[in-house]
Amino acid sequence: MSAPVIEFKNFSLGRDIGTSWEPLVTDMTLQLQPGEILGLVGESGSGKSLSALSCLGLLPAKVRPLGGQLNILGRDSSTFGDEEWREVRGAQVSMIFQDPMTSLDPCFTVGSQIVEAIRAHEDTSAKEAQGRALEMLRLVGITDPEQRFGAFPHELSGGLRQRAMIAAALVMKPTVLVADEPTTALDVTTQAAIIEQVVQLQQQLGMTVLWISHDLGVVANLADRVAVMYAGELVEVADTKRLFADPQHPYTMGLINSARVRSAGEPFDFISGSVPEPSTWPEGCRFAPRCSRPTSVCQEHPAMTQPDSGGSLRCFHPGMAVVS
Amino acid sequence: MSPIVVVENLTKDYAGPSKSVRRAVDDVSFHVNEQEIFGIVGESGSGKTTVARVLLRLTRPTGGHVSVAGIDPWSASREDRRRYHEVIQVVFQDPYSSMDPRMRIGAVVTEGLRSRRTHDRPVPTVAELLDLVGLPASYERMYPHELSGGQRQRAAIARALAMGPQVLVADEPVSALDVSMRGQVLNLLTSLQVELGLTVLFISHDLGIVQQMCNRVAVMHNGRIVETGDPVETFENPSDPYTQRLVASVPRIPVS
Repeated sequence: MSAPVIEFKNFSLGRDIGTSWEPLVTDMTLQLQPGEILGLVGESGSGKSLSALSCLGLLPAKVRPLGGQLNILGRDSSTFGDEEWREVRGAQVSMIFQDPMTSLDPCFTVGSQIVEAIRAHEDTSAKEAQGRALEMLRLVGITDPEQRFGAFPHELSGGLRQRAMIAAALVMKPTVLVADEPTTALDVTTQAAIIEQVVQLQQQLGMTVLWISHDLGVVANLADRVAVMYAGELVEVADTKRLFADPQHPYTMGLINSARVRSAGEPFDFISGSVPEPSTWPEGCRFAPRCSRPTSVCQEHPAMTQPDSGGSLRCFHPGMAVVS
Repeated sequence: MSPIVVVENLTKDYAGPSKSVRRAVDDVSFHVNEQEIFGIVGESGSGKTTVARVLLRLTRPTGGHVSVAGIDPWSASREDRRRYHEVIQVVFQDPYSSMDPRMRIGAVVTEGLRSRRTHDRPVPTVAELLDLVGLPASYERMYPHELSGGQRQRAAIARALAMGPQVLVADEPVSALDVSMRGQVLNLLTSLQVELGLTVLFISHDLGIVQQMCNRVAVMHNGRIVETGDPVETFENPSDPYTQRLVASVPRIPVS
């Protein structure tokens, strides 16, 4: 196996709460292999977005890495200064966000923002950059790019805006694309088109993609592997097919059942309780209070293990919470 | 079964840029029978929420008529309008912005009762209302921000039920909630519908949820209803090209 493009090693993140650091992501070990699409799934507050933002050095103020290591294209990111991060961002690792209305600048045309992305990294003439921007707009499936080039973000539909943002993110042909819920704000028909576009570009450009979503259906149809996060830690990582056919962690099972459509008139599945705030994470297994079958060992904190079935798992009782 | 909600040739225009007109709802007609869970699905801009807003007397229609339990809210007298809001109530999508953050849950839930006009039914207490939606009575003293999203949505349901409505409009009631929490709120809605004999107008973009809980569904696209029918049949065998495209676009979890 070739070297991972992004590698989290026992990585942890925390927020400054004055007197101490409150952990937000703990003991994260995950490798992003070149050319794969890895789905990162979790509910709000699971730490999936913060993990993604750390790949670009874009953590919010007061949040910072507390321990472990995060390697980006083989380099330890803790050694990066502002200059190094600027080289990484856009050229090596690019990101697209949920809401293209807030991540594109409303005061500049779409085209000029793509040109800016090129000229931030390369000493290119404005004319040549413009040509490349137009080509990129065409590549992401925007019809009549010459006209869209001069459009302001508010003049485009949600789907077109998201395509324009993808064009800006990919124009420097980055090795890794981090996609943080890029289709959540879109209608399903638009979502389907955007997903198809990203998969096509991923193959065309040989990119690696980290796709973050709370929608298991999206990930099931898109990712090669899936990593599931709960309350700041990974609980299960597995090949997509295996994860959906034979989930091992009770949280993964609960999540899949909650999202699955049942026959008309049947009750809906759910996981009892709610996602705990970081300040109220249990000492032991963080999922135990919501688990259908916790035992006394679950008062200990489970470590990530590598079961024979492949992937990795954080649970004392794999595969135990049987679907009733 | 007799229709309790009737929508006839409803049209709603909004002013667009430079004197243009945008037709949000275009000649929509449908009815909802008593004790039915009727789903309206469609993407953003399809007009589904505008239909609900006209029914709730929040948006004045450009043309056509609506009535609920025989009252047309747009031509009713002042007194009838008050009664109207004891017939139809709503649960909104966002449990964060649909409650006054400075009011305690007890006050949130009972605020509407002050305008109640029908006096033949007993006035429910806060404890009764909270119990109905599965919240402990102690939540009366809490503020909305102290509740989780799912609990807040329960409180929103209690607020709607305080008026003793016959019809409940639920506009995307779970799309702001985490996936693992949605089932609790949906099961609550379903059981309350049976228990209280409610008629529910369920607005959603989630075809799976609609298929599982609605008796009938209308698919909206560009302000029009393109298809109405049994949800399972409609989604498994869509006859309209737009419904076909919509159904094909829904990402599905593989069946194990």
